[in-house]
Amino acid sequence: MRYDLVIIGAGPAGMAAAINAHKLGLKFKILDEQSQPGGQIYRNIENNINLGETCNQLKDILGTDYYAGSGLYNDFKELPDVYISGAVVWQVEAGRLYYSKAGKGYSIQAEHVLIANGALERPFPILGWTLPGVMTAGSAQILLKNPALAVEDAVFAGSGPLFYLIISQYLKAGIKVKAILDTTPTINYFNALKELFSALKGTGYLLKGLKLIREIKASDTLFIKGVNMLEAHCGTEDQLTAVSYTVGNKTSSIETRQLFLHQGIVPNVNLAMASNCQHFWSEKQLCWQPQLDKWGQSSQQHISITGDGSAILGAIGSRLQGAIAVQNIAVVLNKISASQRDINTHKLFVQLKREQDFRPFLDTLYRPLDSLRKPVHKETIVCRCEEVKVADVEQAISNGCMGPNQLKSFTRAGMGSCQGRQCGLTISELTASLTKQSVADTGYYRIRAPIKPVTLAELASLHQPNDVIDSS
Amino acid sequence: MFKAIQKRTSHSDAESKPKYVTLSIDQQSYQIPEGYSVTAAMLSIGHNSNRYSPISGKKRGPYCLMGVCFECVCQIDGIANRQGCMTIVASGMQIEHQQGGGYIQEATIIQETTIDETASINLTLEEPKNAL
Repeated sequence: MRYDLVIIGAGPAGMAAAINAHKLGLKFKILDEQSQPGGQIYRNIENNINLGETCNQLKDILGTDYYAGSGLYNDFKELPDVYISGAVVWQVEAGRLYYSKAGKGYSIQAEHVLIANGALERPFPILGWTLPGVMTAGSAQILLKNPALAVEDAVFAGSGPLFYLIISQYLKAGIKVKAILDTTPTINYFNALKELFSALKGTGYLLKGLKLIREIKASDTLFIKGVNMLEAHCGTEDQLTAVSYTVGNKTSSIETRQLFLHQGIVPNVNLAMASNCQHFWSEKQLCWQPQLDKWGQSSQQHISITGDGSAILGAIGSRLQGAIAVQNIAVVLNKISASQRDINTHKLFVQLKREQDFRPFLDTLYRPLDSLRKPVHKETIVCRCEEVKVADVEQAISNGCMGPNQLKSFTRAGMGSCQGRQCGLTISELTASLTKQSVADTGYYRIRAPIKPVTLAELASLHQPNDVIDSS
Repeated sequence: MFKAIQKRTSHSDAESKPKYVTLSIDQQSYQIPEGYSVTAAMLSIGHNSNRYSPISGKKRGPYCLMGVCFECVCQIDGIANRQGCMTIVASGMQIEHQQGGGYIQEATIIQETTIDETASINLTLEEPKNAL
């Protein structure tokens, strides 16, 4: 069986793409790494819709933006026999892709692949960030959505829309937050004013954001602005015991056993890079992004990329992009005409522009501080898997190492099991400043398939390469 | 320590009680609600560390909870390097802290899974055709 299309990821972009692919009559499958559709934003949406009916408190905690996914999810679950959960895609090539599910390997043939694998949290390399007790703020939210776990007296440090959202969700759940260490640089407020005019078109978002911050400030939680340096400390055991922070030149400390870090999200580009799609460095969003046309078509003929995996635009934007990408794929596959596609997508582009107009304001306001992206303390671990420190990177560069890819041989940075996802951006930016090159010229690790660890058993079970084994 | 948030439902006894699975974590038996990930289960009993680093030997715990960072890998049912955050708990599951990269004995477990010889022969024959 050869499919017209395989969609990778079932977040807002992937689900919207699937609904449109069904309407267009495409033969397709949607592979999802998670056990349920929803992606990160609408994680566990099915259970939480049901729970929300009897529990207004849960509805209040997770909020209207979360439950806005209900309609999309309800349409998605009506699709007949297309969703494959727990499927970890590790290689895409022209006409075929490979994935593992429950310890077995599978291959599936497809004319076109739509990567909708979303974003991940930007690395936040500070001293002590590998201690147990230090986690991302995203992880706090994930545990809140499923299975509704939370921890008292945590310190939240960082910046960005998601950062404030998670804190407000904690507060609504009645969980005491010990302190908020806000790392948004003061200068950003002035810079963001320049973007305010176009941001006014997204007044709804502005008001929502202001309301969130007002609610947090009204809660009497210790709120410290202008933090420019952070450090996680432990006692004799490997366990976080305190966080120190610097405002101006003054350093103070707070005792805590739980620290949540967050400074924005960036596209998860490993699969697209391993599939040889061209990427560029976005100075606005400070991340690598795939080179795409307005439809999401990549430099590889058989691959389109959509949603936050292409550039950060948020859930609503991702839904629109997912739908747009599939309309264009239908043209590529000769299922509809280009003029039909243009008619079908006209309204979607109008809505998309509103999302796009608002984004530069957020990008400028929450642009993370240089010192929190490019760590200066020599003992700071950059690559968590291989425990490569700033000092190791500096040493390698002074020994003649020219870029991230060579750095692998010099230091093993990026060669651990996360395959560079947690250190890649830091390494690109740090290497660029040490070699006095631009980040664009410095480049990134060369990412190769398989992009996830695969066992020999999974490879060996690919014994019928020409048969699709539907494992839904 | 991570705890379940107290949900106030509109009609108190209407909320169906969660079903539990019995599993072991470091040879100790626990009752964990269905649907928890292995990492959520470990956090809920107060374990915020699941392995020792293969480089420094220091304790490591979960970080991203979404399958990206591979910090939460542990040994599940005898197989090392499994992502706790991406694995849903099951009855009888045996979860253990992982030492470094995982013990070599795991290799014998892989051998026990169903690999027949024809499978590997087919793979080597088919591979060149499918290569780019």
